[in-house]
Amino acid sequence: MPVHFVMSLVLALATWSHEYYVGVFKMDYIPAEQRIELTAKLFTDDFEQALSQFAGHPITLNNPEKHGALIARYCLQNIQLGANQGPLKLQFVGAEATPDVTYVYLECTQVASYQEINVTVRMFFEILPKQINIFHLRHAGKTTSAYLNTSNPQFLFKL
Amino acid sequence: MSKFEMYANLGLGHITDFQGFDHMLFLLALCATYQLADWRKWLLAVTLFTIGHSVTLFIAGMGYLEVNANWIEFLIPVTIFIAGLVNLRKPAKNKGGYMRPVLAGVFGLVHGFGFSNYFKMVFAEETSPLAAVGYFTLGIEAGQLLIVLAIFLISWALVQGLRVKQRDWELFVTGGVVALSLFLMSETFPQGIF
Repeated sequence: MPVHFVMSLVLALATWSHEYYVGVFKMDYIPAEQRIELTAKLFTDDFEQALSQFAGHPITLNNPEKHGALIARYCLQNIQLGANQGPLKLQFVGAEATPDVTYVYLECTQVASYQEINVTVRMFFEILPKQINIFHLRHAGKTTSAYLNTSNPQFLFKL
Repeated sequence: MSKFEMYANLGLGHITDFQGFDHMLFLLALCATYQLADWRKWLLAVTLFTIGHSVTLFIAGMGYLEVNANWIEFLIPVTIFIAGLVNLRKPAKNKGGYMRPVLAGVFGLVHGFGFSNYFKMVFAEETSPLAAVGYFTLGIEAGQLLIVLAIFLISWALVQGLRVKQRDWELFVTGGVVALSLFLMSETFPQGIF
């Protein structure tokens, strides 16, 4: 045990410069269009690392549109929404990347109004066990927030 | 969860997370020469640290002031090192004066600069970034108080329970913290300045 402790201390020291791993998800429901808009804001370096592992070869995001299909597959596998007794079908809309931050835009169409929605986000957990995903849900002008992590990747929003 | 709950929890986790343990080292160095009964002084020091941390988190995050991240990463262990060195003075001086609370505030300012990217990710697009940082700050303060109370619990158990001399404990903790801060300084020393 002491050896393990010392090792993890050394590892923590070695990686201490970037000790926060966080992403922000914003979801809006547009009743007139029966549509959900979801934006994921992610650190570009972490996202590149996750996509590289997912694809099995190195990915850089200086031109994210080129990797649209891959980003879509990764996001749809790691984000699940459920409402009205069933899963909602997410679609990839697009992505924008800066050297620091990447935005991924997703949507669900033909969504009838709901009273509660179940959100599961597992983004980056496979490579960054410390990742925290903050989720803001905006509905009829009111925002409810939660944060999701490896021990708690799911949240039920009640409106 | 409301935004208050969410951001306060986030602040609490941010400070009590083992990975962010530079804060813990700093608090160890800061509180080694205090005892629980000196609560006015250590509470002031901890609170000034929290305030300093949040002020620069906000200023750097909003882009009002840019500071080279490499220098901040290096300066953080330097502040921990200084906080340790100060413990070599006569204990009465550390307990009495306002030097350490003021130092804690200055160090808080330095530490806050280290999180400008975190701010840009988490707070920048909030409808009220100031309120969100305020909630986060309350969580940080609560987290620091938890850590400080844990430190006092350990020192109380050693000094009262195992009859370790108070000054021995202070120097033992300080030596460990200073050693780690030196290691961190060597790891973060900015490249190419000479």
